[in-house]
Amino acid sequence: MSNTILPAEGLIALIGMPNAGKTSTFNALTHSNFQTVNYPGSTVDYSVGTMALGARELSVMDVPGITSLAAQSQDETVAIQALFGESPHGFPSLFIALADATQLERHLYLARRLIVSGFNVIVAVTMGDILEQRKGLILDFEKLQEELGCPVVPFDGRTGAGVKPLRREIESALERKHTSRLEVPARPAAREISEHYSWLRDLSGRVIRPAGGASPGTDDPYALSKTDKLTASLDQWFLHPVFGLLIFALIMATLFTSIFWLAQPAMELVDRLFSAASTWVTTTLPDGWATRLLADGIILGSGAVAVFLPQIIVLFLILGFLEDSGYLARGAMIVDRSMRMIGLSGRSFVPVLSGFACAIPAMMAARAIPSRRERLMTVLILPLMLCSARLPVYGLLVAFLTPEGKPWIGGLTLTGLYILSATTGLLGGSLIGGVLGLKQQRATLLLELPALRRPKWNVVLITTFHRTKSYIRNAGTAILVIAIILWALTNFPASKSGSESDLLAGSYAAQIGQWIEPIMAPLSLDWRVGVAFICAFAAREVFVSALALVLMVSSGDTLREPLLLAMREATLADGTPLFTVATCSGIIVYFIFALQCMATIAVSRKETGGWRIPIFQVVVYNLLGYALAVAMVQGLRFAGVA
Amino acid sequence: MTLLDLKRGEWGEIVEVDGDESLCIRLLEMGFTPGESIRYVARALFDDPVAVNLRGTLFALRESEAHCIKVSADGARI
Repeated sequence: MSNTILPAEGLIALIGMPNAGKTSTFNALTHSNFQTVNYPGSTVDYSVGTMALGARELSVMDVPGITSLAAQSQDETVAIQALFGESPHGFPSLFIALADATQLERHLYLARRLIVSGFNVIVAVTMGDILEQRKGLILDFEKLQEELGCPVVPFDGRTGAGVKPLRREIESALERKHTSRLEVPARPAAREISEHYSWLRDLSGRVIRPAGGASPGTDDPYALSKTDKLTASLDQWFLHPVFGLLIFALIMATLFTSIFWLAQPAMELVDRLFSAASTWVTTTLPDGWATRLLADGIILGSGAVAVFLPQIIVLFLILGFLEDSGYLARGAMIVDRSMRMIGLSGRSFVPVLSGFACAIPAMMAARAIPSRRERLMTVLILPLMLCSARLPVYGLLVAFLTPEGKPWIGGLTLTGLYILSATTGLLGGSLIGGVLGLKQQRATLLLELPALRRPKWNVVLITTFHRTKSYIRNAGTAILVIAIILWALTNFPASKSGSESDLLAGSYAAQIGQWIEPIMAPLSLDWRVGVAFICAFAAREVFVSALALVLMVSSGDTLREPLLLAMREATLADGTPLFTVATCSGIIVYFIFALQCMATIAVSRKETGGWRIPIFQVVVYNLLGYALAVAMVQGLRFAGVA
Repeated sequence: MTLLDLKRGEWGEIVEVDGDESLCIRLLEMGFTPGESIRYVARALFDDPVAVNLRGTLFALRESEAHCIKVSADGARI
């Protein structure tokens, strides 16, 4: 593979260290008009957008995760190749190097390497305002431009200020022609790197000066090196070995309770909206299977999932705040040690956390993990996290098992389930990662902790909006398809009587349920719970509504009894109770491990770039869930618990 | 002495970066070059990871990574 590439017109590449403002620059240039493309044959995602400049339409490319031009892993090699022309988009005619004014030397390192190698570069400097406000220093842009030998433009990623001058510079930069062949800069030796940095250190001394107008060079040799006061004072608490951990636990607890408490009213509203829509369709449109497909299959089916949107949105909002404030990196540092035990790092913290709301946005968040192995491992273990769809199932079963007048036992059990979920997820991940050969020998952290700042509402809202849209698009199709299939299975063959329960009893789903009854036997369950299990493949929470429907059948009752009562009275063929401590525990254990959510499998395939991991997840997790559930039921029975 | 031998809040000067080759190149490219001032800011529970200040930026480094960074103590406390 040759290192020399010919330039081609029309492509601008963005390059920069993380947190330099690359993403916001990309959005500002492309007006968020971009697509995320998967580099063929790998798991590198890069974004390509279009930008109109005069009469021309240019492509803008952002390849995330490049912090160095010297690739050290297969992932990085592919990413750098994409950036330097081995993608279908050709070789960039222009590089825009992003640099954070408060970290000028480190960020200009990449830019300088490119300039020195002869590439066409514009440097866009961000956070100039923070440099001034927090450290009382200003940057002399003209001098910097002169010293670097390339255009330098100030740009504010959060407000978009500076985009017009940037576009003008882009236009003039593109007019410069390159006639020589350009090579990807070779891997540098240690001394070369030191020389770059010496030069950059001198440079920053010449271009950064105190805001008061005094001459460059200050009395305090550490002036440029100190972090700003806000970050320093907050970090005394956030990074304290003990208090930091406590604050972290508090923030996490707040996050969790918010997800489940703040979102409640909205969830009820969504539920009512979809039910109303379904009823309206049933009463307004002529009777027939098409109407019922629309009302029950499509509307209620997607409603079962839409009801979780408020929780997902609350999760994205709170995570967005934590991210924009800079706190998340500190959280990652705190959990790194625990994550390391299973071969992951603190970078998997956000995906794992998101997994407690829903595995789908969590898998999408895992894209930010630079190391391919860590990314795959994270996606692998995410379905084991207690997602919100399991809550109605656990809520029902725990309520059933909780003794009268002692609700705190129920609360304790639920908390215990969360802790169990996190533990099994991490332990299981370690085992599985080892088996699949995903454990990294030389994993690194090397995590930058951004300056702490007050989060901006509009930034958070826009990010939340984009992420929610992504979630709906990714999960939506799979869920809709499954909902329709399940509707068909539970509504055909058509029943002569009008009752819902009779329809379910005679349906294909019930027939499948009876067919798998031998599998249900070791769990001391029967075909009715089997039907509910099958329905859970659309969305886990459907287990509850399916169970409600199916229990009305056997009691021969047409009255709508509360589900718990129906559960207490349900019996097996031999007269023993169907739902007991043992059997309910078995169902809970099954749900802890089993992967029923088809949408998760679809997203898993997309994020891991193949079928290996999703198939592993479906097969292994379902078998494991079943085996452990059986062990639980039989073990409890053996110990004398009914 | 390594970075980890500095006292909390103490500034040091990087003397060299020594260890696994690709890790060292990565550290150097991130700016951990000889002659730079570095400060040991904080430590997580069990001293791993640690937070350091380099050129005004905070980094979280694992103990194994910090171990590669050899420093001499400036002695100045800020």
